[in-house]
Amino acid sequence: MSEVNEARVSTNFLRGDAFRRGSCRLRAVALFGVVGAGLVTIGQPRRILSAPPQADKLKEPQFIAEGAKLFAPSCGNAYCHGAGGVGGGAPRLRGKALEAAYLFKTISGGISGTAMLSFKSEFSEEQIWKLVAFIMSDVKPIPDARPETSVADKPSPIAVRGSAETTAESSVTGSVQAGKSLFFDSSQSRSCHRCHSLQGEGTSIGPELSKVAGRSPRELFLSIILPHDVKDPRYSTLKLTLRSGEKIAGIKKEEDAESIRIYDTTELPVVLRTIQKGEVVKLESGSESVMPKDYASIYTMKQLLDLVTFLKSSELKSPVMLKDLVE
Amino acid sequence: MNDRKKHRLARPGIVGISFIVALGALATYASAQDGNGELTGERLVNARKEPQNWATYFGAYDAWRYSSLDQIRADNVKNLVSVWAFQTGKVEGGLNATPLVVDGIMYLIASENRVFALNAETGERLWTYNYKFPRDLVSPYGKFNRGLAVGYGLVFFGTMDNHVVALNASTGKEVWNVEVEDGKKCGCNINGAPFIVRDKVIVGGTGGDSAHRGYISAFYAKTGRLAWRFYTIPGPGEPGHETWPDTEIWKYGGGSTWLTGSYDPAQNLIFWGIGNPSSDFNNAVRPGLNLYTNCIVAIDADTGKLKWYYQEIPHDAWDFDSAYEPVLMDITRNGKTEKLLVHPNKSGFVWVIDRVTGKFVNAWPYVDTITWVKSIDKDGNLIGRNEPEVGKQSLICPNWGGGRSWNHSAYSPRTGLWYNDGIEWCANVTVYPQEAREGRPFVAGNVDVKPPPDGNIRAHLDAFDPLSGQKKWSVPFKYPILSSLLVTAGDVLFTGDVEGRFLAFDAKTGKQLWSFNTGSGHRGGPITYSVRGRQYVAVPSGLGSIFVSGMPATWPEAANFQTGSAVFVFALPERK
Repeated sequence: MSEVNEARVSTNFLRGDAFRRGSCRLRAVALFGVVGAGLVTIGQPRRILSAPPQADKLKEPQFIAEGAKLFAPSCGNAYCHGAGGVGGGAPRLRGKALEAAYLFKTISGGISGTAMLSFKSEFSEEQIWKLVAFIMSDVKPIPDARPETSVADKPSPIAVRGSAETTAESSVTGSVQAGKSLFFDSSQSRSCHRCHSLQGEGTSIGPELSKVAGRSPRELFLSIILPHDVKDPRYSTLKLTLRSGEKIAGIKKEEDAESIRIYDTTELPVVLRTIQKGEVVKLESGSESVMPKDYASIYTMKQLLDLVTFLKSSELKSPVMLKDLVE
Repeated sequence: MNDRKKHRLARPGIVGISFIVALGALATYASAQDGNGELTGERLVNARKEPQNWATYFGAYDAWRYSSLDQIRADNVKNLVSVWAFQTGKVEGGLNATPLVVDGIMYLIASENRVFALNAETGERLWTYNYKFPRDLVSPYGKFNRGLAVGYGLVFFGTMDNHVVALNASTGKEVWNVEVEDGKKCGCNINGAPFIVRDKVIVGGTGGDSAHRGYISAFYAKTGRLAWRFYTIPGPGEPGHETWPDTEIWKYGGGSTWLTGSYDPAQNLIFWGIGNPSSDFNNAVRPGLNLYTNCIVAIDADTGKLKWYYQEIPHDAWDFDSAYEPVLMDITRNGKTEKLLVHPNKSGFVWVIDRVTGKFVNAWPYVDTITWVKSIDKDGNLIGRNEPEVGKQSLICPNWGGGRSWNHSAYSPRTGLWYNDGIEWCANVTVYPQEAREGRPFVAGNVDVKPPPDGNIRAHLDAFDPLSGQKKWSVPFKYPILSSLLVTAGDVLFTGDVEGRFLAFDAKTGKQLWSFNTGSGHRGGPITYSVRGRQYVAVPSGLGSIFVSGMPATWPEAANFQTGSAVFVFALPERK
């Protein structure tokens, strides 16, 4: 891990024109001095749903066998459909005369409200058709089949999320993918998506963020790390003092004649509380954002660069670089 | 191996003053329910002095599932009559819950997070709460729910989409709601029952078979604000992190907390059984002991800091969670009283641990068929581990489903016996290495259920000496018992079978005394309580769970066992 990733940004250091101080500039140049190459592009362009393979293809022994190999690790565990599609915690799949198109759609998109996940990010369309072929077949499962891609031989299993990018190029410019991982990091209570949504994912406590892509990198950077005012009154701060003496600060969700529902942002994760109006002795509102004010001490400079890069990714014409944040 | 044995950590300072302040604040919060006053954390410590109530998931903090009510006894239980029944209205997911009764009101949670308050004498519905799910709900661990907590005028439960919610106990209206972690991303949710300790509500979560890092959370009961979180896998720089390889796998290593813990007020310690590491069957991706998976952990209730731990199965390769109930018993032998923790494990063994020091005391098998290990020595070391290997099938007993399922045991201080069920079965396990993808299934193996080498798959209900494991009586069953057990001071042991029979046994002898067919199998927790001097026994009826969905592969006829979702309540006939 480079020194950059270790460096924490102190809030003092960021206030005013601290960025223009020689030491900062020097540090930035020293650490990010190499001009970066290309950016990681988000997602591959979606292919049009391929037509189902010929019915004959779904009956090809080789095609079915490849489906069986894919099925075992991803679908066949006992919490899911069980070895060979029978006897798991999820519904039995084999011998049920399910239709190919239905199976394809279900594997690809999942079933909302159930444990059936979407697999379109995990499998190609051809692989899903192979799974369909196996499920529709009466071929016995191959319980000792090795999966198509074995990770057993890899010396160190690195998980998909948060894999550290250590190449010189990526430390110069922000990474869309790394920024996206941070934005949607579910293990952190302070993760952006716990309050904001973007690209159709996340939570709608704070503003939806697709429109911020038009802002400058520096503006985005400062709005993450520094306290700021919100212009949209829907997100202004509401401060309640209760009869019990308790003070609550947060964003109002809704209210009716008797109660106020407020996102209490005092501690994270955010708590949606229903407060009876009779309990409220004082009510104030302000324009200051309720965003946590400690992102500068939580994220490294590189992580902040990644986040800004991700936020700008829909309008990105050239790579976001560290100098874009500080100048 | 030596470093896995009990580690005593520094005990944090006394926090009594802040506790009193917190209680003072809470006292003004909700109105008293009746003559007993509000149900507070303090009152829950003395739950045994209020046998009319079944106020916590296990009946009391010690996880005995025992009641000192004795109106219904072994010699009159045959006279029980049905008093009322309540249908929850949706059968999908069955009824896995344990109802609570506080001061004459029954609180019940059914599948899909539907909550009901009922008059415990009549079954009259007082209010209903239906949880609103997001349109894009992902529900990785089923629709069922095992129970709720009640206190401070509030009702607490976890949701299918990984929130914790508090309702006003009088009206059923939502008071607070917190998303614990984004359920769409983490492959986790909450279906275990929370419980209240002092001013906090303590809650675990699922996710141990997904690529996820487990934890226990404590929220302030009144506000929903997070008080502390204990991660079951230590992060970089924390003691125990070195038991994981130098990769990112610790972020995805499981250690879920999907059931409910117990609590020792004298030590102010919460005990919790931590689930399996993941990937479940392929332990090659996580060389090391993998702390604190498959451990009993003792956590300071005020701070969430670890006091001690004991790891039952280091570096698990069998998906043998240590997630089941930690039962707290004080047992006197040779004139000396020991404070013990008796802990059944999915692996077919019961571990007995000193709950003050975290030291190993004994381990003994509660099923006959065990092949995953040859033995456990007098110091708790596993001898002759039989780990499934990549590229070949291994016959492992007991089956992945466990020497028993999660449904809970019972302990009677009158008989001194610990009651438990067991299943004799095995499985061919095949390991399929998998890559961790956040929140996605991370099991890395398939199982194919097989009979044990000595005959057919079978089940039994047993009474044991909890310390030595000596079996006092045993009743054979064709199918696994999937209902929790309940034992009373009337020396009656209650449970139900998967075909729908609610059963009463003589706790001393195992003789069956009574049965009543409720029409759907039993998967929840029977309880007993009293209102105005009359003792009632309530049992949830309604088959459904991950275990149940898998049953037809072993017992084809189980495909036709009807599901349901109702509570049946029984009592002795009223004297005319």
